[in-house]
Amino acid sequence: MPLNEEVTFTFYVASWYRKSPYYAKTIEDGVKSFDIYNHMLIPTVYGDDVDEYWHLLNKVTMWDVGVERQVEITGPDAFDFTNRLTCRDLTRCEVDQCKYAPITADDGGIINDPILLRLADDHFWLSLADSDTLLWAKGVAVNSGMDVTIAEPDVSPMQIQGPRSKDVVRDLFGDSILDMKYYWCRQVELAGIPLVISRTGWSGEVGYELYLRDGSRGPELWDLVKQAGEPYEIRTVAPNDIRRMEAGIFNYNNDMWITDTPLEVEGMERLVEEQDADYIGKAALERQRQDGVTRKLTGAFIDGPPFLGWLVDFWPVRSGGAVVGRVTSACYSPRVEKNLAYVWLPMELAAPGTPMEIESPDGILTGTTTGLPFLDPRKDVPKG
Amino acid sequence: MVNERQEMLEKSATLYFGPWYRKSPYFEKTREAGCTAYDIYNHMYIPGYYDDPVVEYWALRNDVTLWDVAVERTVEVSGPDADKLIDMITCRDLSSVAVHQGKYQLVTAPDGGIVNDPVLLHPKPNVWWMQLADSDAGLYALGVAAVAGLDVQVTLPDVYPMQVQGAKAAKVLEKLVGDGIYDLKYYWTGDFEIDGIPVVISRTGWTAVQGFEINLLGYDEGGRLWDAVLAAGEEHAIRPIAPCEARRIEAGIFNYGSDIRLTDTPFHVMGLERLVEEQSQDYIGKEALERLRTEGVDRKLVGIEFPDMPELRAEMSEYWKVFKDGAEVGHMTDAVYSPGLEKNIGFVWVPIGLAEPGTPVNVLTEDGDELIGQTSAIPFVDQRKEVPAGDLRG
Repeated sequence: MPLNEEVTFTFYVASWYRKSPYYAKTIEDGVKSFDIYNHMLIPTVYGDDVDEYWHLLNKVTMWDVGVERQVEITGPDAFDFTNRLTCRDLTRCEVDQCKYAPITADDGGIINDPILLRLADDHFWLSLADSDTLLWAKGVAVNSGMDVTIAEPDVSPMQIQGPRSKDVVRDLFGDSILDMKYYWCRQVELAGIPLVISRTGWSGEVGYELYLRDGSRGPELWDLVKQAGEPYEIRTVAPNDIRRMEAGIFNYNNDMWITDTPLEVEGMERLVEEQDADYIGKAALERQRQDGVTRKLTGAFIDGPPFLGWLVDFWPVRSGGAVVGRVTSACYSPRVEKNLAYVWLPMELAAPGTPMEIESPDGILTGTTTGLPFLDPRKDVPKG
Repeated sequence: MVNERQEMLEKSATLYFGPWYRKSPYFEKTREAGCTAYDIYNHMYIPGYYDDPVVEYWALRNDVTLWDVAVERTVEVSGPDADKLIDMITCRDLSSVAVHQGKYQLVTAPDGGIVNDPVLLHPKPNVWWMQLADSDAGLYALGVAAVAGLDVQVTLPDVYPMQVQGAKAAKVLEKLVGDGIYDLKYYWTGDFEIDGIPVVISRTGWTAVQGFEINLLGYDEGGRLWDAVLAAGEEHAIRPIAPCEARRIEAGIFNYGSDIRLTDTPFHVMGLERLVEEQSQDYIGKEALERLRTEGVDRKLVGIEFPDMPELRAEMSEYWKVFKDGAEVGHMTDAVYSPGLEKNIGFVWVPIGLAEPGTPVNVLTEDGDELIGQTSAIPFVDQRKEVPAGDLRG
């Protein structure tokens, strides 16, 4: 991806931006650009993103996602408290199981969309997207009357994603790790380094996350993974926007945030689970389920030449001459051979096959809505 | 043209713009004005560099400056129980705060930790604005409200502050809104209009020199407001600048997320102790803080100065370790060259036994150099805030 002045800015790496335990390693591996995410630096560019996309699809990749900060909830009431934070029904979450668990506000708005890990009956982690959900949880706890401890532990994830990730984790942890199912986790050690490993990731490919539980050992872990991955041509990459869009994975703050509810986002509706428990946002979400939503985040194909890079700003969407919505993310998929987009639209324009006009920086483009995800709706690939 | 500091550029990275960061209503104007670097703060861009920091420092001290600080994301607490909620989440005693009066608020967690340190404004009855430092403290307020059984709303309204700071700030504001500006007391707000644009002006800022914040109520008129302020300030040589590190450190103003965090309480920070106000009403963190008041703290953020050292030319890109008698005892969060004091000054976390002003300590820079400094009181200048609180006509 070109580094040109119109889409980039100079950023002084000041002391207050927290660095992941893998930071020095990502510099060694040639990181070229970062984002700021949960007050930390996350690598966003190493090499060409299309090359990295093919490597992720065909081989194996490793990512520094230390920015996925954890909210740790422990204590006698940890289960009831955590169940109160999310629209998922955690009575169906066993120990060592993970859930994609939107955290909802009183009005149903999405405060964060973490992966939840249940490490024990009364021990949970929320592995966060970009918002200070620790503060939300601490605020909720104050008047909840529940006996819980809420903290940000010394935990720094990295992801190993791609079809050969199975080989890498087998070589690191032994054959039994291959018994671990999609969205499950285990507490393990590697050369004495305390870890949790989960079969999750931000790619829609087979993949794992290693949650380092001792930040001082980050470089050591990075090197161990890299060595184990060498026979399988492991490569350090940034989170891949193309692959995550194909899979219908959302980027919090970009595609949706606190003003949007899970029922308004195509693919998240199923996460609002009917349940006995009274979670924060339940009344609002059950009302919305009855009344229906008035707008939706859905998919679209955009016509025209392959789109490179990513958006600087949201792109306004027009229909009948009026601005009716916006594109939040867009990329060219080499496999679908089309430009993919996520787009917010009024409900009456969200049905698949609806045409629209898009105001891109390069002029007016035409597009057509389609369902999400773009590929593999049953998650056969990552579950395989 | 652009006067970029090589020493700072060497510690820089290149970032991509993206829609996951929000733009201030003044963003395009800051680009036009020659801003070459941005920071990310509350999920938004804030100008990080226009011109040499020493040039900007003297513009602030002698003339007047304009800052885009829309990133001080405003959280509004409103409704019949707004007073209750806002008082519940801070160690300040707000029971006698009048409408239009503001406070430097510390939002506190149950363990007394600092959630955020906003400027709190009270623009109308039953309406409070927390103008945030860099943390999603709106989520904290929202979380408390969700289970508090209070009749209150917590929202992110379209309120976007800019700062007009400097020795001639009042003269610029007089030209924009008339001599009513001279009646505005330190930390109070008033409703005004600038070229037909309704604004709320507070006499606050991040400098402890004379200054104001102009709050735009809506997004669309940002460019017009920016231009109007620049035009009014032209005769006083107004210039857009980035937040001035040297001045805010001199004045003992802290940068949340850098100097202080959720793990620190007001009693741990020199200059914030007085903000834990004894009061009859309960607030979140009271029990923990009153215990700390009695028992004392084991570490403290204090000042540090380096009297005999050449001018620091770049911001620190990591915290620098602090040593005493060869043992690591703390870290330095910030250091900067103060053109006014003609020495390098900063803030440092040390064990309470070393917190007494004048204690020599060693600091190891990120480049491996060892510095000799001594602890110092905070603030470095103007202990009684006579400069910002002084007579505007003076």
